[in-house]
Amino acid sequence: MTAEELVGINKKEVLRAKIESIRLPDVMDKEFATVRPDDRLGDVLAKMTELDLHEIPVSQDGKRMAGLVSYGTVIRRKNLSIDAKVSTIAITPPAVSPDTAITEAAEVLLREGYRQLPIVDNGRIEGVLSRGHILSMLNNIPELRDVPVESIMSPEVRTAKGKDRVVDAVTVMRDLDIRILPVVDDMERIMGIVGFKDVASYNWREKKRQTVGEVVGDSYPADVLVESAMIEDPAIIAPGTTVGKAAEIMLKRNISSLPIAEERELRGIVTRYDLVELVASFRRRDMMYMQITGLEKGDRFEMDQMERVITQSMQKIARIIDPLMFSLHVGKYHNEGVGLSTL
Amino acid sequence: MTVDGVMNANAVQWDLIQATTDLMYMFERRVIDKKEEKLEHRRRSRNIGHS
Repeated sequence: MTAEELVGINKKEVLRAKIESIRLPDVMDKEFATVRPDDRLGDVLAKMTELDLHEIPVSQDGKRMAGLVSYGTVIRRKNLSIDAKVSTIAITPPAVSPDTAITEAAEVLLREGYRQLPIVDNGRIEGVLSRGHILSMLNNIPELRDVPVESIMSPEVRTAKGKDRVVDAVTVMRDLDIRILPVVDDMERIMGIVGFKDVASYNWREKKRQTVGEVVGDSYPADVLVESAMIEDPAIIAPGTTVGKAAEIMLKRNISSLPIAEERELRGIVTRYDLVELVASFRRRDMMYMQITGLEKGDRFEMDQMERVITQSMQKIARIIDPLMFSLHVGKYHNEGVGLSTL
Repeated sequence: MTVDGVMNANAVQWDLIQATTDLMYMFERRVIDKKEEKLEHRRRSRNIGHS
C-alpha cells in the first residue's frame, strides 16, 4: 500500500515533514566496527559473521571513509581468495550524509539491498544506519506506528510443506530471493518457518573421503525434510497487529520476517523490507524499483533488452498511475520455453 | 488488481524478450482499462445526478 493510500495525499505531505524531522544522527549508531584496507578477506568475513553484519565500512583509522565491504559483492565475485586484501573488493557506497532525509536513506538501503549503510560527512564516517534503526523510529510516528500490518503485508505467500525436502525449500528461497518460508500443513495452518540461514548447512554434505581401492568423491544434497529443520512455534502476529508492535517484535527477536495468521491460518507475511519501504514510500520520488529474478548468468544480454522494454512500457503507464515497484520472475519450462510472472 | 493496488500477470513464450513485451502490453491494457472504468463510473454518476 502506498503512502497516499494509507494517509491520503493531503496528509502525506504533512506526515513526510514529520518523518523527515527525525534526523539521521538521532537514530544511527555513532559507534561502529570498521576494517582496514589491508585486512584479509577471510578475517573480515569472520568479523562480519561474528557481529552479524552484512556490510562493514573500510577505514585506515576508523574515521576516514575508504569504501565498504558488502556480503552481496563478495558472493557475486567468484574465485575470490580468502587471502585477498579488503582494498581489492571494497566498493564505493552511495553518498548518504547526516543531512540526508531519513526517507531517502531508507530508499537507498532498499535500492542497494544493504542492511546497513555508512553515514559520511566530508569523507569522515559519522555513523552507521541500519534497517533496524529505521524500524526503531517507527514508534515515534503515531500515524505509522498504528497502521495495521495487514495494510502492508504481502498476502500471497510461498510456503513449504513439512514433508518437502530442505534442498527444494532452499532452491525456492534462492530463486525468489527470500530468506524464510512459512511451513504449513494440509489445511494451510502454519506449523513453523524454515530460514535460509538455518538450513544452508543442510544443503550439501561434505565430500566423501576416498577409500582404499575405491574412488568416491561426489557431493550431493542431503535428504533432510523441512519438518526436521524448521523452527517450530515461530513468532506469529494477527492481521490487526500494528506496525509499531511488529517492528518491536522483529527488533527484540532479531528476526526479519513475521508470518501473519488468524487462528494459525496463514494470511500473509511482513518483513523488515516492508517496514523500511513504508518509510521510503513517503519520499518525493520520480523513480520506481525494478527487480528481475530467475535469470541465469548467460542471460545478461536479454536482461538489458528486457529492461529497455519494461522502461518504455512503464513510462507510458506512469502517465496514468504512479508505479512504485516492478518485480519480475523468470521461470524456465522444459529447458526451452520461458515463463514470466510479476507481482 | 488486488485491493492493495498490486497487479499480477504472467506470460509464457519461447522468446524471453517477446514474453516481456507481451507481459508489459498486458499491464498497459489493464491500466488503461482501469482508467476507462473509472471515467465511465464518474460519467454514469454524473448522469444519475442529472436525471
